[in-house]
Amino acid sequence: MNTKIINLESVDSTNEFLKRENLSPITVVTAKIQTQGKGRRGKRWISHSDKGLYISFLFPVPEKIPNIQIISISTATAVAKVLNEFKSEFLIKWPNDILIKGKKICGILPELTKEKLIIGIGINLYHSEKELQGTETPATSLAIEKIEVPREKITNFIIEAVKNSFFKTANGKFDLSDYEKIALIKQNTHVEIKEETGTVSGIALGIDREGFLIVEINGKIKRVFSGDVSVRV
Amino acid sequence: MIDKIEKLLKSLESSSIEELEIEIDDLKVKAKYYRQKPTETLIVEKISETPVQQTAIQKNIPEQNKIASENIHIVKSPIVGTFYRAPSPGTEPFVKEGDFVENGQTLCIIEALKVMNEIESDAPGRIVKILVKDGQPVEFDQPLFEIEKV
Repeated sequence: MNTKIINLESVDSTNEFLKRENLSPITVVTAKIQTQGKGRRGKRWISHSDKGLYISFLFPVPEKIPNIQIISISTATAVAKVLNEFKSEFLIKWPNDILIKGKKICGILPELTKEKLIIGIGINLYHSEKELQGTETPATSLAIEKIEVPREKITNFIIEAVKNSFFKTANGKFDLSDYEKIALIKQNTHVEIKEETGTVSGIALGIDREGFLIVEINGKIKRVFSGDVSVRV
Repeated sequence: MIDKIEKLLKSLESSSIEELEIEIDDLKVKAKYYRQKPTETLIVEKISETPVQQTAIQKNIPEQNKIASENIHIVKSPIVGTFYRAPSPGTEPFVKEGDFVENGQTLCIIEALKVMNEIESDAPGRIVKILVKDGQPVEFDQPLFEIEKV
């Protein structure tokens, strides 16, 4: 399957661009700046000019729809492995945030329609601490962590890794233990889950085969499908 | 420990998980769930809740069901996840009861592991009933919307 790469100067959001344009998979789009960079459920993604990698992938929708959500964890695992090549301190906070020293450096937003699977990835590369102020959760960049990587190099690595991970996942070959090795939330981690209907806290028991987080809350077992999860120390 | 395993197994009864293996120290538990997908009859039963005289139902079950299932289309969830009626909190819902929708129009989002799954209508018609509340978990194949075909 051929890959078309589009490099834009400016865009509202790389995910929105792939949603509205009539392009064939696989298409990869990057932008120097996003004017409306977005995160989960209407949140913003700080997208200053030339500071981050703002990249989205358009993939064909895999046939096995019921477990499509695994793509979230497998993509995060692929991206974290790339970052760990530079400094092996990156961990994944379920389901797909990438953190270093407890601070968020990468966010992933997969969106699925009947015809399109779009995976948006934002990595903070060259932001200063000041430029990342005011985020909901503490954030950092590769520059702040003193990791020097040329933009072109990391872009190419990410494109290769995410594409390979997509095919692996679509063929049912992704191994959840690859995620578990670099998971921030492990068995017995105290977690707080913020859902739109309220916040609950409990003790993580792990993830199931479909990637859902299993948490014990007040003696009851809950399978968590979504929500903002934070680790309680 | 046995208590916890029991609770875990019970909590997964209505999930889409088919097999489970737990290994803790010397204890090994293997569980298998036999899943039966909701059948057409199940949906038809729901539709026939519309007020009709008891005697009429008893006499004409096949006919009543036929009429209902021909006019009402059910949109079901293709995945397990959290059901959202709006693109983000505080914004207008995609659709409301009474709205007319086109084929391919977005009805809701189901989020699973941060994958935002936009569910489209696969039939044109009027939304008669929204069967799930905003922010609630849904299972695979669970009915979400009743659409009266036009």
